[in-house]
Amino acid sequence: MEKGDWLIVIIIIVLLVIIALLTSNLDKFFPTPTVKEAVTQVVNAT
Amino acid sequence: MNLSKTIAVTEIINSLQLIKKNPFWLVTSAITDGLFILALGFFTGPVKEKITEHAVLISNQLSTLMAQEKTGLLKLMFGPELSPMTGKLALIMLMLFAITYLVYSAFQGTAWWMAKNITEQKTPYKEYLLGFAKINLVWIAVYILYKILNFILALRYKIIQKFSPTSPDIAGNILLILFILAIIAAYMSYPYLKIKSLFKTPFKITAQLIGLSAVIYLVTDFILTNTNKLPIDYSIKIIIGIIILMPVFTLLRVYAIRVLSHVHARN
Repeated sequence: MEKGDWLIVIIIIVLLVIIALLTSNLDKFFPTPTVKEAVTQVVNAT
Repeated sequence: MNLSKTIAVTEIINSLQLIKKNPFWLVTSAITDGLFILALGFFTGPVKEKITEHAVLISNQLSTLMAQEKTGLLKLMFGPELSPMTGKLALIMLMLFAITYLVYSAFQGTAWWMAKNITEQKTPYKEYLLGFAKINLVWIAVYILYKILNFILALRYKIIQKFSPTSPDIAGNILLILFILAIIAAYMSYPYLKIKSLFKTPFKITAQLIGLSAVIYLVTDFILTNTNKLPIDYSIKIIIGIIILMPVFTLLRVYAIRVLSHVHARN
């Protein structure tokens, strides 16, 4: 493997770590609204 | 026609000999395939769960709104009441496709590069992986299009079935055939990173390659299905499955590279 090849390996590892962090913290980015919140949202909008 | 002299048969023998000669790459390629399955499940699992959560909430709200005699499914989904949730759902789905693309390109690109090493057609890892990722931009777009069309056609077929329960799903079947063709096109594009490989290969060679690859896969599937019926421990079944299936994937890659080398080899 050449020098550039190792760089790709490092980039892949970094990407996989980012994906792992993102998926394990998905609730922080996309909190699921409770049914109550969802109903309130619809009532408010209508 | 002397079958033993066809490219399909001579190259399957050559592929098996090459794999036998390169046990290191066979094992690393099998491990990469195993890691790919694990990583895909591990990374996409929570995202799929989120999609289900949002889809259930949206469908519940849709039922409520439709009970109020508001019609037009798409209109309601993108209406003021539901558009924030629909937008979120679309974003999470986009994230699922992006993660699938990255994980697939990283692991499968590596596995195909290893297969190239087995066939002694060495390519720099960086060059091959970048080319593989570039080609997969097209295939992921095709996959997204298939998923969208499949969803629309399945919904349409459910409505048709309400009026005519015995009607065949012609559009769905055509879409499935097109999707299988896309899978074949992708499989044939990877060995030499040529997206139009399927269309630039003589039909006789394509038919031999796909026919024998399908036979190898189906025989493996038959063995695995029957192994699953054996009265042995579940973990042993998994180990047997991995030991059989992963090298078969490597064989199919090496075989495709060897067969297509008669048409597309760069060197």
